[in-house]
Amino acid sequence: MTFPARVGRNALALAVAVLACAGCARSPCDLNVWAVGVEASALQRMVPGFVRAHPNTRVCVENLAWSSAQARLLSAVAAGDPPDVAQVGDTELSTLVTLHAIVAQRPVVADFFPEALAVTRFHGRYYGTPWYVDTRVLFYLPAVLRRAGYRRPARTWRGWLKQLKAVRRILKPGQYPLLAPINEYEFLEVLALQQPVPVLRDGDRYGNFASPAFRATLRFYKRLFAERLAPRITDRQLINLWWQMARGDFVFYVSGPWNIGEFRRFLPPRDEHLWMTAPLPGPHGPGRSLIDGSDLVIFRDSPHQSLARAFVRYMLANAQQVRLFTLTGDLPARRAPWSLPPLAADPKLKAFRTQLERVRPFAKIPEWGEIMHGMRRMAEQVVIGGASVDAATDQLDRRVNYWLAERRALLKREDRSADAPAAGRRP
Amino acid sequence: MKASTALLFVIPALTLILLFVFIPLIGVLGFSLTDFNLYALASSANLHFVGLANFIHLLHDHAAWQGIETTMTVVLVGVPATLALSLICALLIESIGARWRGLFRTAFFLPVVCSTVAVAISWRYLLNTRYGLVNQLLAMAHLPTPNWLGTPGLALLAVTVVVVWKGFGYGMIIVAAARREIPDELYDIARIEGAGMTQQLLRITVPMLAPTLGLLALLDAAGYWQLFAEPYVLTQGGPMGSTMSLLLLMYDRGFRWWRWGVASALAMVLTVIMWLFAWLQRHTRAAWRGD
Repeated sequence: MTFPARVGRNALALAVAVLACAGCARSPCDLNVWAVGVEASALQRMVPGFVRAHPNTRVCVENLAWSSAQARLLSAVAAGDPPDVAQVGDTELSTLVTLHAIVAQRPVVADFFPEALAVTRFHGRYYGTPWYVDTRVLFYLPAVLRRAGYRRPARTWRGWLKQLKAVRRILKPGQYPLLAPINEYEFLEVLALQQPVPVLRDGDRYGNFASPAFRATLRFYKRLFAERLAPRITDRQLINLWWQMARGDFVFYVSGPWNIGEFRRFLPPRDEHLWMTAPLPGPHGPGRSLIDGSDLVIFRDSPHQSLARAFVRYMLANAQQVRLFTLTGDLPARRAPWSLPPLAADPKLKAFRTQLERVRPFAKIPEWGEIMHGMRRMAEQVVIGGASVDAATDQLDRRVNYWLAERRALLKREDRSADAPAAGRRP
Repeated sequence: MKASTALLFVIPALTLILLFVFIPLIGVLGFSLTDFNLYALASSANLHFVGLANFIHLLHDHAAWQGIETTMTVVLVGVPATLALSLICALLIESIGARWRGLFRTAFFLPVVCSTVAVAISWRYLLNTRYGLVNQLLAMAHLPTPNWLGTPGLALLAVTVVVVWKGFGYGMIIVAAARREIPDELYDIARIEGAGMTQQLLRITVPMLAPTLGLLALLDAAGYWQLFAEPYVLTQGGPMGSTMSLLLLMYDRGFRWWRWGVASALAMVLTVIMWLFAWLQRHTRAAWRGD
């Protein structure tokens, strides 16, 4: 065979393969659902129940990884080929709303935690249905705290600081009263949310980190490291958090509901009494915490809108909310499932139930994640680099203002076109 | 006729390079002159030509300078260290008996074929402050036990060590092969003339291996400029951005915060730096050879 002939045959084979793949790209599913990690596995197990109620529908669940889920979703939206329904983290919701990728939904039930529902509210409409919620509480070792002379965790920062110092006195070298990994921004975020003054101002157009309130927060945070109440380490420097906590390496840790499951997975049942949960202390009394979690969203381009809505409604029923909890440990976004057996019977969930009534949402803007990471890097400069609180917060405000420049310009244009007739504005 | 046949053979490769290197490169250059970000994806009305604004922003961006400094440190320390280690190990395994040669060659080459992520995770455990093997050995010798991945200078050192340890085996195989190509007669003559071991090494081995070492330096430098996985797994670029390589920073800007304009500008900066570096290296080599 001559050379060009072979090239021609190969090209033909390639063309056939491409055409064949054009066929294989058309999905055989009536409803494409994208979810992340353990929630995707849980959904896969709950789908048969939905299909029994909706015969002759095929539901396909795609399992994404947390680290790349948003990139995958965004690429799919950019390519005009999104799924019908997806699980989207609260922090990513504003991105999809900005892209006009998802549709507004009426709340399917009335008993959502109000702040969880508020997270999905943009321009007066609800984009996405809260599916499960997540907040941060104190995990601690009751026996060590008792040995230090306290019966339960304090309710104010000052009282907590006193407890941390008392605990430090009875610990062995290398052990610390508090674990606050310097690469996790959530702890500092929670402390900042507890202050009455938000970290962004003027409708989230400018940074407000130089406010006296945030500076007080940062000084408190800095003190925890300066007085060696917390080690200057990242979570990557932990061997096994649960095992280390059971050994007493750390006595307090501010974390989320998944750690209930993780403690039980890594520690034997006889160690169950070693750890407990409690609501967060605040600057002047019981403190607020953040609210996070995931929502089920329906994409604008989906041709199966009513089936998608039925799917979301089904997943929000009591039975499914409890099932999700048993499969993954995810906390129901509605109040009613909390009084059902598996949730009501667990003493370690009580702190979460209490805390969920005392939460505060973050700014619902696509830049939030970047701002929080900026805040974390700034805190590192203060805690490790020895930068001054005032200089570091001033610098962070300048950075945040740069990140928000595009948003300010956009809002300005929208204001201007709002004055003019609404022509040319996207729905 | 000959030229056209040659062209036929070259066309597939050229097409691929054009499709996957030059066209994306022009695309990146284009994006680097815009404010392409999340809002632009929502509506193309939000996409603006901003000229060199992204580059000017980078000029004033501490993180970008830190990224260049970090990456350059890894290149300037890592490349000579890798070459030295490759050379030493190659000469050592060539000098020992054939029985042990295979064992050592495999042991030194193993890190090269291991998954970078798995290797980096293992190092994370080795370098753990409280339970890591490194600090336990140091404690046994009554030496200070530093917070390796939590202290800026030490974290970069740790990343460099992992990079060098992971990479030198490849160079070792190449150098060992090149060493076998050196005719034995040269050494015989040198011995007859009364040259010692050191003289043989400096006058015969190293000069004869120079082209190989030069090529390795170029390949290693190109690889180290694109440092990504090791700091991503070991430190996530921290502490205080001390291990944030240029590529990691680019990934952060582009795929975490959706600032493709700035990320593209960073990509262009990295491209220019690598070009400059390769050019500089080639010319110093040429000058050194006396061409």
